[in-house]
Amino acid sequence: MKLLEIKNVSKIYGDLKALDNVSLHVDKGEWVAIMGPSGSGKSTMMNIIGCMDKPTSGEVLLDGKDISKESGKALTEIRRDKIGLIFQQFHMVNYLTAVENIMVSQYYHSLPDEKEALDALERVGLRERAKHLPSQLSGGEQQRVCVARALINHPELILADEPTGNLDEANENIVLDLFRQLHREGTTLIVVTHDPEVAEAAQRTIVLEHGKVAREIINENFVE
Amino acid sequence: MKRSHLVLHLSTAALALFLCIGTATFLGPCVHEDGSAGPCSDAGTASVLLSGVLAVLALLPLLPPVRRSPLMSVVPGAAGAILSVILFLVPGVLCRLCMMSTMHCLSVMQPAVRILSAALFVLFLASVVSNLRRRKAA
Amino acid sequence: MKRLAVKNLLGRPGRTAALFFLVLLLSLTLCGGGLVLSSLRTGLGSLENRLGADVIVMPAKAALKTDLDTLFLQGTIGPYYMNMSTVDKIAKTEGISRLSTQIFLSSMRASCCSIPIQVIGFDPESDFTVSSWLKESRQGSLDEGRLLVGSRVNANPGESIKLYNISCPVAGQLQPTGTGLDTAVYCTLPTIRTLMTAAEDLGGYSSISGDPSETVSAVYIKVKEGVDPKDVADSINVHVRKVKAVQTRSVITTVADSLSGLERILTLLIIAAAVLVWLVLFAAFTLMTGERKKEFATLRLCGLSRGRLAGLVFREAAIVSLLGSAAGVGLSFLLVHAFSGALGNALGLPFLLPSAGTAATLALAALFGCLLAGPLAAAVSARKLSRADTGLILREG
Repeated sequence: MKLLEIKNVSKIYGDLKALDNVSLHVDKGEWVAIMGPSGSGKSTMMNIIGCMDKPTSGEVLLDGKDISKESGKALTEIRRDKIGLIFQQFHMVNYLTAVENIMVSQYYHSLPDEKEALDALERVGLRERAKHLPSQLSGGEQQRVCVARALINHPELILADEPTGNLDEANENIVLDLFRQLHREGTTLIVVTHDPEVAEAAQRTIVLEHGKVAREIINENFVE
Repeated sequence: MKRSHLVLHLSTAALALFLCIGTATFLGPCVHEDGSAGPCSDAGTASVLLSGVLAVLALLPLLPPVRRSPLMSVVPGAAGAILSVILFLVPGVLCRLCMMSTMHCLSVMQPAVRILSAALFVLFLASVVSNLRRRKAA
Repeated sequence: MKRLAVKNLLGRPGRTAALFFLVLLLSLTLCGGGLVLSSLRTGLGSLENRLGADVIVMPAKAALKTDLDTLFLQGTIGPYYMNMSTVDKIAKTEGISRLSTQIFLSSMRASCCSIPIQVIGFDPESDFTVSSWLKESRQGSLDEGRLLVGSRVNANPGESIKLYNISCPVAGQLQPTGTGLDTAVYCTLPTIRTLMTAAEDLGGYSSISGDPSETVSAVYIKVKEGVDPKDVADSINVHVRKVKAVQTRSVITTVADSLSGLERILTLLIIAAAVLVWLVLFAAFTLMTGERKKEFATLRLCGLSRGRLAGLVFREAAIVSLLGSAAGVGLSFLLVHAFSGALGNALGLPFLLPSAGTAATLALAALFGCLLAGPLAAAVSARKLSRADTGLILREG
């Protein structure tokens, strides 16, 4: 069953076609990597799927609903309810502790529940670092808090933009293991990356070039 | 020493020094036209001396031997708070001033000493509290 | 989580302190400036109330050497006297309803003070200027040898003031007027004549000529209804030698003119300072926009809508503004109240703190103005922040 379906989507900035009539789909529970060199349209694709931008033309169906024509307010609600975002630069509120950073997401979604937030931290192995400020956490720990934050509202889709770009190998493996665990639990994952090793961890890789889908690779060696 | 502690002690010392120099000059007691001292001169002298002592007390916790002992560093703060109260009472209560409130000692020196000594009291109290917390943490 | 704005303010103490200080400065300027202006107006009103006489006659020498308003701003006209026979001549002028004499004496530098105290002697029976003030101040009759002191004379009832080696008990203290009258002491004519004799004996007051019981310093005149005080003053100036009759209205006009000039300058200065501080506040919020881009984008990522984000910025600005303006209002009251004497001296105009009602209105106005100033300065930043491209900011890092 399709969770996300992109039909003939184009995004044009002046004379530049960032996305050129792209069509693709992601099934529920699938783990897809989007790869491509700089300027291939990865980030534009990520913005459109993450409800942070709208396409110039085409349709974006999320859970069967076309979100390409929605207002900014409606997009905020969709993002809040259905999507968990993870970025390369961690993006934590630096005056809030790890657990508070997670609770902010809960607060704007439903109601903050400290126990649930602590459980989410437990899941990423950071229960004992709950009361630490971002400045007191390492890069890998911050990214794991971001994963916990992305998961807290039980989103249908986890959208990660270069999630291991700023991490060392050990922390990269921790984050990928977390993704594997999420995939096993049935969470849909879209990971934008230009790291082949990260892409290889996914079930399927979509390669973008010059704003178009250049090819799709099914990972034969995918480990569940 | 934490930066906030340093800022607290330095600002207390700066305020006390300002009061010391001020009461010795432009915030000082009345002076007769012939240059002789007015009846409020005692209040002026006492204010200069006390605020000078307060400046020293504010700087004491910055000295390494005092700084190392959390208990020792509480003492100058407590003494400073008590002396600030005494300084507050100097113009008009402990030392007499002139008789007309339009005169410099009553219109400038007394309010300046009272406002600044009240501020010094709060700062010294803050220093005591922060040093007690440090002691507890130690 | 509802305390996100407070957490943010506490999380950035330096930035919060800077914003707090700016709002404090704004409220200090508005409230402090307003208090000074209001005190000057109250002072002028008090001067008008205290001038119970329509015409004041003083020795011509005094009028030559002193400004007209000196009498009220500094207390007395100095050591100039006229004879009682001159008073009789003045009394014959047509149109006079009531007439009362006063004697001014400047004490030698007494042990109390580094400048002389002005002593004003009046006749309780004929007086119509000081008596009403005494009634307002709820002071009883003034016995011989006793003094009433102005509000700025630092002596309590029951204490004594030593003038020319004579110890005079203080009977009471008068209500403040904001003028030089507050720095004088008041007694009956027999008392001041005793002091004058003592002054002569000590050789400290050589200007007294003739018998002290036959001299006065000034004559206060109330004209009959329907009579123009100017006609009475002119008549005295023409018919009585060596005196100068002055209309009190002209004294008020002189003070009011100086006041309105000063008021204009002060108002301009207050407006200029307030605008300048507000511009700095605006610049501070605008600079903050750049600094906090990432933080706000992160909150958008957490599900904050544009409206709620703008609300958060407004709430932060409102909290800082409320605290800053309350501190500024408190500080301005403290400073103006504590230094009212010095301010009055420096401005050289009647200076009397306004009533509690006026002061409360001023405080509320300043508080309200500053409460608006912060969020208004933040409005542009809030709009800019909420419209920023969240995706772009988060990807750029």
